[in-house]
Amino acid sequence: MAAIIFCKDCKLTAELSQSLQDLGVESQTSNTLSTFVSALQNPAITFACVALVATSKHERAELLRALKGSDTRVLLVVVDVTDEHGVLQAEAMSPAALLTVPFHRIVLNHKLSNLLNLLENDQQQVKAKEKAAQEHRIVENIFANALSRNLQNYPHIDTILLPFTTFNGDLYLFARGPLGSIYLLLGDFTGHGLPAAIGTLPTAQTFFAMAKRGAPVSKIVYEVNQQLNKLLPTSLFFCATVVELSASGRHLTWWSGGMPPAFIVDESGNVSEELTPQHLPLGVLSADEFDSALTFTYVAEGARLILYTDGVIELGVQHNRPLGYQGFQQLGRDVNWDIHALEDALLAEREVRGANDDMSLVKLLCVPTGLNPSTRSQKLTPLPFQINLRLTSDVMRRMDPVEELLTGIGQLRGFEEFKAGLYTVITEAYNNALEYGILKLSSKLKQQENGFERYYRERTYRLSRLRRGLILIELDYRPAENKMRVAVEDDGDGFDFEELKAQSMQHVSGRGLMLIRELTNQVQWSKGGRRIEFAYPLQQERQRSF
Amino acid sequence: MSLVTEYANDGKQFIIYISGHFDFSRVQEFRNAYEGMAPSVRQVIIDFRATDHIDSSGLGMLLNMRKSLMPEQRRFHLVNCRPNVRKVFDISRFDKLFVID
Repeated sequence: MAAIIFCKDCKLTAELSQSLQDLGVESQTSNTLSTFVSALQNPAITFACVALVATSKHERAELLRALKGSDTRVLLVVVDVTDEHGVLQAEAMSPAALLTVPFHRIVLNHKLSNLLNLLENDQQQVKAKEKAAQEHRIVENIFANALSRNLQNYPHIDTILLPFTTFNGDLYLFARGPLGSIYLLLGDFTGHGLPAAIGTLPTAQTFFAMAKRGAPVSKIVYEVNQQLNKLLPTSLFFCATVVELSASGRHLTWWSGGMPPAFIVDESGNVSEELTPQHLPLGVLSADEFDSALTFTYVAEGARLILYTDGVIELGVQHNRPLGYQGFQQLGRDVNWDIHALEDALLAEREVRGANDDMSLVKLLCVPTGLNPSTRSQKLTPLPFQINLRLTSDVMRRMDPVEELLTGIGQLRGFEEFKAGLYTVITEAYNNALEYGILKLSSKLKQQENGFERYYRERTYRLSRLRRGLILIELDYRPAENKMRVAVEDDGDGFDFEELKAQSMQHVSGRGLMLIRELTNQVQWSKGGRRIEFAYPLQQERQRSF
Repeated sequence: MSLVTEYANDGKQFIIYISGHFDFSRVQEFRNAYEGMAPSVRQVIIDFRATDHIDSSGLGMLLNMRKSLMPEQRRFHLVNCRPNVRKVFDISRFDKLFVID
């Protein structure tokens, strides 16, 4: 700390300067206006002491103007007790203290000592506030980042999020799943402000990670519960509803604990179904006590799901005038759940009833999400190739050769998205060759009581004893034709493939060949039913996004 | 590779999650999953979100399940199918027998 002393009296200057020095404060002194004004601009100067003794009215006016135009604190003004004008001017300078002459040196020391203590406290408080504000900004940033993963620009969802303080104790999370479904979480941590918001981070991380993997809602709530149960003190928990809307928009899978009942409103705005919570809030029960049981709810196309936190229906509860569940529904019906009108109505209610909690509302329109399953679609390799497999009985016994083959092909550029389809048709052809050609199983067995299980037990048994037989699988990839030609041949007795053609899909057998016919082109039998050939189309589907 | 089941909606719904391949290697496992099912169940939901592949034996297993549980007037839902699985259901006209979503 350093001080500037303005004083025209040499003895008084010395006294002030000495007293400050005794208290460990260096000071500059000045007895002209110009030196004083320039000292005020020196950033090293923390405060000023001004003596009005022996100053003219003009000088006092200039001093006052200089001080008003400066950030420097005026700690002490010394003035003659009989100088009426001086005392008024002194007060106008807004000093921390006034001192009149004459005074005793001990009084000066005592006064300055107290003033310096006050000044130091003030400075510490300013620093603490700055630090708190900075930390606040960092935390705000972290929260904003955590929530920035929310799915943006989805056209069928509307929200009203009205936090009571900077940190929202209500939490709204929204993400898409890999199959084009959407996941929605609306929750309310006990209390509000930063302590309430602390569970936001682990909840958001878990939610987004699991939604990305396409986990069922029951797994998500199980995981979030476990995290919060370990993390939060007993008095803190998380009321939440977690919903997955299928890609078709036709069904909701949901879990709800401790929340006011969400509901579905039909086209006319009436509540057609309530999603009554069946569970305790998240974070209360340990993993083994926790109940993750879901509910499946079918919804009509165009129905609207309304989720909200208790802040909405408890508006005005502190004055014993809560909006209430019925009041809220009336409010919504009056505006047919139009989000902007609803927000205006809620804000008006808050104005009248007074706010005391965070308020959140989400409206989700139940229609096909329009989000296509995410595929890492890559251009198919332009490199043509052929693969010829000779599968001996040894190989057939020990492994699923189709799985091995497709795992390899799936690694080739662009083939990932065709892997499952190729797997289906090649498996069907291979199983057909193996089961009828090599193992001589009869599909008639499947039609008997428990025949299905018996058939596959028999398959396992015969395969384990297999010591002869050969199956060929030939793949011929033709990039120019966008197709994979497949041939599967066995060295068995063949069969009557004309008869198979006539069988319908409802029959237990023949379904595999039907799949091949429907999923591929140019199906041909030869060698008396021992060889089947077909072409699998490799048409890439374009991604649609909104 | 696993098959997980859970009850939903107070035991009125039963969900079977099938992950990996749904083919004959799951015959016994699948049958065990629904045979021990509580009588309270009205809707059986097969969730295919984690099923990467299905073949005709998988279709057969679903038809068998339906046949064996039908007398109880239950409804059967096949949900969250990946495109290739959905395509297999569609060309097999399973929409006549199951609610597919």
